[in-house]
Amino acid sequence: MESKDIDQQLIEKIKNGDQAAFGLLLEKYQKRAYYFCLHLVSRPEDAEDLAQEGFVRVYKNVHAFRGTASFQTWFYQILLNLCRSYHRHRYLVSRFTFNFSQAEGQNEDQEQSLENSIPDQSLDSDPQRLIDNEKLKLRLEQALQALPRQQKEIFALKHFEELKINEIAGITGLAEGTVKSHLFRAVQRLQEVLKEFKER
Amino acid sequence: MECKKIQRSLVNYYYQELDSPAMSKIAGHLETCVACRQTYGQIKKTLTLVAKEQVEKEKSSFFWQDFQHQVYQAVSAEKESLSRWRGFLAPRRLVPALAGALILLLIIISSPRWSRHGSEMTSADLPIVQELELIENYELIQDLELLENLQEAEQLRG
Repeated sequence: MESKDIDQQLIEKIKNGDQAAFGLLLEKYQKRAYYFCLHLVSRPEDAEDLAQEGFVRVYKNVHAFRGTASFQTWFYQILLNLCRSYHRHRYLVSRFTFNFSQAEGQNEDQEQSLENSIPDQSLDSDPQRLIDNEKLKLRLEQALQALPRQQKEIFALKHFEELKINEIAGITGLAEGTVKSHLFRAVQRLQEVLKEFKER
Repeated sequence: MECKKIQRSLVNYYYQELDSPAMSKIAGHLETCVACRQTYGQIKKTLTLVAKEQVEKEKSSFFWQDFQHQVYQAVSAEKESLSRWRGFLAPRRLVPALAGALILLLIIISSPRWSRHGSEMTSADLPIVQELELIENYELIQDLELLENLQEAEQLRG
């Protein structure tokens, strides 16, 4: 039986009040939900809250799910909406409280602290290379977070969630060509970061 | 021109999002073209580095147990609040409550105090208003007198 059909059966059981079916759905999708939110919001505690809220919304609105699209599509749409509202809220809060000089300082601190955070097992490796790798990872992570909203969402759905372009188009409501072009631009931006890093 | 077109498709090639003729065409081109092979190598390297991040963020089984526990708690709280609302909105409670509210509204509207506020000013109110006007006029006269006195004082000084 296909994963899609299993989901549909579980949904029908949840509609009839089957708690165990909800447990199975939770177990099946919890990691994907958490990591997807983490890629979009970057703060682990917020990603956890958002993913949990996603499951609560599934439970609350299960009767509204008619099965015209797959459960996966519906669930990712719920998570996307939650992450978008989260960003909207944070943007509004930051309009009044964000301190640019402090944030820039934080990034520099993060990079400087990397110099002192080489793990013990690295003592037999090349320390400079390890520092460079850590710095590169940090840069890539920052670059991922700095991508425009749609590019970031599409990159996360494609690269981490390993969804097909047509599935992403279904979730985001964009045309397949648009999805492809957002993905291309996201990868291009990440490549630029890698190039800049090597040129330094 | 060919290379430019190929390079735009390399990301889709990496994710195997092209049909099989396009996939084999690009594979063939990569075998012969050094520049495109280099570009593809860079894309591959970048995406591999990003993929590693996810593996490193792997969580323990305790984390997932706690995660499930919190979801169940939130769901049962949701169920409780739903059943509370359903109980509150049940017809056996809602009908008497609405009837009571309607009766109270009728009593308030039909009370004499309510009707007086909405109507014109009564004759009993008029003397008070007249008195108020008199006081205001008196204060105005006093102010004018004060102004005159000041002008006189200035003329004397001048």
